[in-house]
Amino acid sequence: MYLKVCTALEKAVASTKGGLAAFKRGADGAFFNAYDNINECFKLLEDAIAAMGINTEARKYLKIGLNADATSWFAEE
Amino acid sequence: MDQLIDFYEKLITDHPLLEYIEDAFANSDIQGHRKFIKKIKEKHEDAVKVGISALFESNLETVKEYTQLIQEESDEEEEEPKPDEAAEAEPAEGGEATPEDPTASIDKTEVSKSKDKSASRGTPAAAAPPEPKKGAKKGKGEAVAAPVEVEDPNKKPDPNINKVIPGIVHLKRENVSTIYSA
Repeated sequence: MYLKVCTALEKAVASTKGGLAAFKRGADGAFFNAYDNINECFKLLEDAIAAMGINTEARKYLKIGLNADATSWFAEE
Repeated sequence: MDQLIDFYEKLITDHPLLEYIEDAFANSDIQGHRKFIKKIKEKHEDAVKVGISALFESNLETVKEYTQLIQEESDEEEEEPKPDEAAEAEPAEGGEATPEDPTASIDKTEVSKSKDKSASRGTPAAAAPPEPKKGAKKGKGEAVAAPVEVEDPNKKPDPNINKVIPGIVHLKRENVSTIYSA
């Protein structure tokens, strides 16, 4: 399942404008987000999940988690 | 803060697969965390989960502050039961033990000592626990002291018999039965 998700994500990333070179993987295996805003990123993930065909209307097995990491990225004010 | 909450809400409504948001606010923004969690629970109930991980990697003071706010137990509420517990502990122990127990006076002195210690520390959380422990120590003292005095002359010297480890209550079956029967 994990490999299936990985391959689907790689396919989705490869089909983008920048390709795999733009979304270069980091040391932890995560893709670099080369999009300008979060909505495009969500769209890519949702398309990849939909292409996998794992989620059904009755039950959604694959979901999205968001780590905002506000401490690092936002001003405290 | 409100703008960020609105942004997260918009994300949740626009993307139904989004189920988990971690570290939505900065560590120092404890009020923001509270407000966001409350709003999410009201609107989305179990659909969206909110996680906080970075906060618990920070210093202890921040975690303490956060837990205090989350539990909504202010220092006033913690300080209030302090005299009440002391008042309850004294008659409860005294009522059982005072008529014949010579150790009751010792207990009161111990309780007063603990009060003095707690007052010097100035921490309400540290003040509450010692009082019941003193009550437990009384039982412990009886349970430990009796065998030391009686068994030493009868049996061969046991190197560990005189060693009393503080904080460990040695329960005998007799004492337990008497406690439960009473």
